[in-house]
Amino acid sequence: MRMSKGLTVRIGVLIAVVLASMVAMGVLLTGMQGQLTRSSYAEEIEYEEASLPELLEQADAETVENTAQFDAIYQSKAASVAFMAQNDAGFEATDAKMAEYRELLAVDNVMVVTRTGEIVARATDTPADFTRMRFNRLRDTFDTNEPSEAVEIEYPEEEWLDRYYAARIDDETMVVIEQNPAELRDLVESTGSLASVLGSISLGQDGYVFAVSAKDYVIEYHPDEGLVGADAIDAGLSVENLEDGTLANMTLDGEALFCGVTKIGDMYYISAVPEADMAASSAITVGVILFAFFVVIAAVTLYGIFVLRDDERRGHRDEDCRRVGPVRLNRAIAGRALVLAIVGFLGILVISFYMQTLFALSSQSLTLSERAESIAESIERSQASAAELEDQYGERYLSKAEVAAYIIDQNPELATREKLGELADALQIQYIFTFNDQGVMTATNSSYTNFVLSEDPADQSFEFRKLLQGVDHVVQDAMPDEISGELRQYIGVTTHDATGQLTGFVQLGIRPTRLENLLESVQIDHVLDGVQVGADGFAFAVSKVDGTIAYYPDQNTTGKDAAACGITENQLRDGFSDYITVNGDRYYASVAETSDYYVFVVAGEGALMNERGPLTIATGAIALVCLIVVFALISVAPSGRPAAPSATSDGDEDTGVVEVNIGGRRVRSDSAVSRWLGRSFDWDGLSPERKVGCVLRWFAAVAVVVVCGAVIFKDSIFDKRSLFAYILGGTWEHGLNIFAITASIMFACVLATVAAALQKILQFVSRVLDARGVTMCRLISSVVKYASVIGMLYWCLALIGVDTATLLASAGLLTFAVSLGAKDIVTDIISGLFIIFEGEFRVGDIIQVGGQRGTVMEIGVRTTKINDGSGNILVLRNSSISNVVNMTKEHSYAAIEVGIEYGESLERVEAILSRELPEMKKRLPAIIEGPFYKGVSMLADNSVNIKIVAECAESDRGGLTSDLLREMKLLFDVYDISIPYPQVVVNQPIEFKRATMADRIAAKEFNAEQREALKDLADEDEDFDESNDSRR
Amino acid sequence: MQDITRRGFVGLALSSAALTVGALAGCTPSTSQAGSAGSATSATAVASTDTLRVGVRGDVVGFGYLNERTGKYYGLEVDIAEELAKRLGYRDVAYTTVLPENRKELLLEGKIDALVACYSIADTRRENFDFSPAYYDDAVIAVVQNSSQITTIDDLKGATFGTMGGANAAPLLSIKLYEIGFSNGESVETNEDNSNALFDTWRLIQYPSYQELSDALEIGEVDAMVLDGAIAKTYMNDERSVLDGFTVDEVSYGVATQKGSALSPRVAETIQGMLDDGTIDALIDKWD
Repeated sequence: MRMSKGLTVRIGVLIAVVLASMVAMGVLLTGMQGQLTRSSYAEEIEYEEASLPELLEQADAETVENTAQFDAIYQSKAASVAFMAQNDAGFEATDAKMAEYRELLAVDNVMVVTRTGEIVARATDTPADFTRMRFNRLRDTFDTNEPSEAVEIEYPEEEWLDRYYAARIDDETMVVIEQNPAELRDLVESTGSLASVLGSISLGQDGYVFAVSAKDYVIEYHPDEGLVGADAIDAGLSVENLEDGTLANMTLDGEALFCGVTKIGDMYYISAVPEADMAASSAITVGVILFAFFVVIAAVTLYGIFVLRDDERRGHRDEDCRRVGPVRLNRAIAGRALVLAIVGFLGILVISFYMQTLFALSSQSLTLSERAESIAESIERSQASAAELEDQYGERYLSKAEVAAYIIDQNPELATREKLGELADALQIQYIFTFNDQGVMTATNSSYTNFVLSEDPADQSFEFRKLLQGVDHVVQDAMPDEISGELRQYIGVTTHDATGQLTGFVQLGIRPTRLENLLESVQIDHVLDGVQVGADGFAFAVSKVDGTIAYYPDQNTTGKDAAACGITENQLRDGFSDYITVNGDRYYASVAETSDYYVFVVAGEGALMNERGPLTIATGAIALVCLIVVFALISVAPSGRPAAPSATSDGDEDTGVVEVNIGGRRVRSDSAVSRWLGRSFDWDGLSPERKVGCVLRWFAAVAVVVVCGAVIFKDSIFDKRSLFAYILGGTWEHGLNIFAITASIMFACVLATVAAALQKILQFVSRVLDARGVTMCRLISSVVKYASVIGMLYWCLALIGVDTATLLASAGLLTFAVSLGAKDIVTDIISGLFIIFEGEFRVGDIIQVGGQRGTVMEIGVRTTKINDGSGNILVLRNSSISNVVNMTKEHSYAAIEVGIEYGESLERVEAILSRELPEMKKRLPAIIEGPFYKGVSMLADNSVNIKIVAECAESDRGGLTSDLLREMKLLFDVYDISIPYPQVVVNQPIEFKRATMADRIAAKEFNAEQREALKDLADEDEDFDESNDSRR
Repeated sequence: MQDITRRGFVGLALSSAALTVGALAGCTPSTSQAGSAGSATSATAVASTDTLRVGVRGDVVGFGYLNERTGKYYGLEVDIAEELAKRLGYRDVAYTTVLPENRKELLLEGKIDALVACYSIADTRRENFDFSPAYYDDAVIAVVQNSSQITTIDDLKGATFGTMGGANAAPLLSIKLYEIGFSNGESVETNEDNSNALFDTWRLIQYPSYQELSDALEIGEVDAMVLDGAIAKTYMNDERSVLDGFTVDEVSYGVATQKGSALSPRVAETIQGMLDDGTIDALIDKWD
């Protein structure tokens, strides 16, 4: 049907408004969300930048410390050789002796070099030419009498990388030790290098920090090793952006990044967050809100368009309109559109708020749990490194003890207080003790005197008795000294005389300050102090051993019982992530587990959460404006417009639709048959409401299928650490929270899609099957439906935290209770559910159940109420509703039977009927078609019964039957057709009138014609007409 | 044994530059490749006046640095050349990598139109080329290893100095050492190509590339390396320092063009314009 020009314009305007509002909404949402994400990232970048100098300083300090440590070891080695040379401990300036020292000291090379640089003796060849000024630093030892600082040479071309240390022997010669510092390099690489510092920094989910040299713009560090060494300018950065304090979008190697630049020293440190990361997290939120908005706006608009078209086709009914000033308000449309708009508006608000919450909470949850994990990891790591360091120290000091033992072996005379003091200096240790083979101390540089190894196994010194019993060395763990309480470590190595006889042992006493520092830094409070999460977040830990709070920023809380502070048992586990209450304050928390602690990282409701309100309101405001505009366009028209004439009759438009009465209001509903057959309707024939319903269903289907697709292909679509993956991952807390609800919805979507697809397939299959197959298909389809609903319920309840095992058990209990007494009620309830699920009938339908017929008024939980047409309400228990006949069909038939006397000419009656039946239709408007003459239904005892049927609406049937009977009586009266009734007949022969020739022809034609007309009508069974049967 | 004067040495050093070129061309493939690529470009560009052919350094980070992966040049001098070409009205700039030992020839032979390649303005050079006003002031400095504990020039008595062959540094150094009374300027002995010369109080070794010079300093073969401050930046590390209070010479980099060519006054004028309006300062700042 063609639309009028005015209508086309209005529809055009409507569509334009919708498009405009979509764009406005999209821009607003993306903008606000982007802004929000950006500012939160900017904050994080700022925080990271602020903490960077300290981190780098720490790393530098560590490098200096590590280098000093490394140097000290080799300096002391050089010094110990010098000590041997000076103290007659078997020293000879020969290559062989040097090789021996090389073994003893575990170094690469030992040399004796003159002041000018001539090599006197060496363990192996060296590339170094000590006469060169490059080695001047080694000669310092002649002046200071201390081991020299290191000289390092790195000449990759010749694979020459060595550090040199010198110690003075006498005024002309010195010991030089050559050592490849690979070990030091490794240590620096892992603790003090740029990579070690920056590699541990993470920003948001995928953000990182990379470094670009300010000297030559070479990328010095990047998580992607392929980019290290590349030219930053070449990789896409612009020189203009590389300035201290810049915060801008940049591109590196084709990846769009949101970056903050800070310059420290000769290096630009760029904190980068991939734009894709930022966009991805908000894209879903914006997408969902936008979709909801689109659905609402589209529904309202489409409704408007459908109504306008429908209106134009059928013509205006003036009673619907009210003039308001210059415009006309279509009240009927306005009412419905208003309801649609309000519901839609509320929907948008709810969805918007819901998505914002989901977005905010999940991103916070992700950030927190990542933080918690990284803290837990660093705790574990530093504990591991502490253990490693302890081993390393043990080994290192053992080697010193071995050197000391070697020296004493070579020259036992050195076991004097003075010489041991010198040796201790050379070895850079605190105390040296020598013991004889009885375990009695013979000499020391310490203040101890008259010490004998304890014979009590509980004493610290007892362990060293092992040395006298054949063990080569003892490395005792560092422990607080029994006397001073300071952390101290003792190491002992046996000494022998020239024949290899055990003479006692040398013991070193060390105060491992560095180890002490490290062990201190591993303490939980040291690690957690200074952890900052966003604006108000912090970290605390609960001890696994006794369940007390091991560290909390607030001193008073530290040491308290966690349960007393409000932390429950189920919150104390790895991966927990939900709201917790500590001391009455509510935080969002994530928990990670270490071997000793549960580490909590908590944050108040972050900025994102606070922004929810304004964002939702902004979304709502735009939606409201759009809806008002659309609403106005639909329901208001300029008054001047003439009512379009009714274009077509609505005869064939209402196929499959019947009007039903609900609460005194006439409403259209599907006819019973069309509900199950899935008959396709003529789109144009549908009412606007039904069209909108259809469209909404499509939208819902699209949404469901999209969600389903997203869930199924989550791995390929979404990053492992994205919000979506987080929600689907199920690592959140099971309980009544937003994640569980979201996951439930998603699961429902998947199941619904799968079930719908299965049903569709079954439907297709059933088309090609015989009746038996069809029945099976229907049955399977039904099973699929119920299985999916039950499965969904079960799963969702599990997600929401209901213990399903208990649920199943309680279901058993329930059955037991039911079998005891509440059986009927439960049966009623279940029957009611089935009625609704199966859609046997719905409110407004005319049904017949157990001989009762009426309109369904209400389907309750336990009972169903039916109006029998005369105002009587029939209350049926749901369980007793069986053998339902749903008579909400498109057309009904009113049928009557009239008897005529045997003597009457049937053909004459038929001729009269042929004239009168059309007249009857004019008088009885309830008749849709007919009345039809159905022929002789019975040759009864006293009469020939003929049957007349007329097509009518089911609701009109009763009345029409009466009317038809009345009409027949009047008709027979007029034509003197007698209706037989019991009477006393005085036998006075009557001459019956004979049919004329014309009558006969008319009758014959009439019969043929009627048969033809009845061909398509209902079957010969006189359905539902018991009254007729009983009257027979 | 040859006995040459200071002046004689200057000439000798310059000619040695030419000699090293010949020796070098065969042994460094990257250099010859760059050179031939450059000449190919210039050959096709001769006919076109739309393209300014500029010789730039390919190894001096911050001035002229060629990224071998992309074949693009970066640095202050590259930016200056770009801006210069734009102001002179050229549509395009064709870059050729030049080395200290071949830049002179390339310009003389007309294979390039201009040199923007850390080329310091010197009277000897003015004889052959026209120079624009200086766009960058630098100093020739001496770099020592900290471990050698050399802190003043006097500590270097009897030491070995290293320079890059073909650069201006060697003659400048000998002049400077003579001037401050460190040396009498007389060379005691030299080897065939002048790459190793012994003077009364010092020895000079010249290396074919800055990297080799730097390596020689690392292993102690030379005790001090003498080179332009701009170039030294690339080879500095924590273990090295610039010798305090000793500047061999102040140098100023200018754009060199062929003597008396039509381009010369225009280039000079444009560079002056860029100096006046702060463009060059901005570029120096950018690359600093």
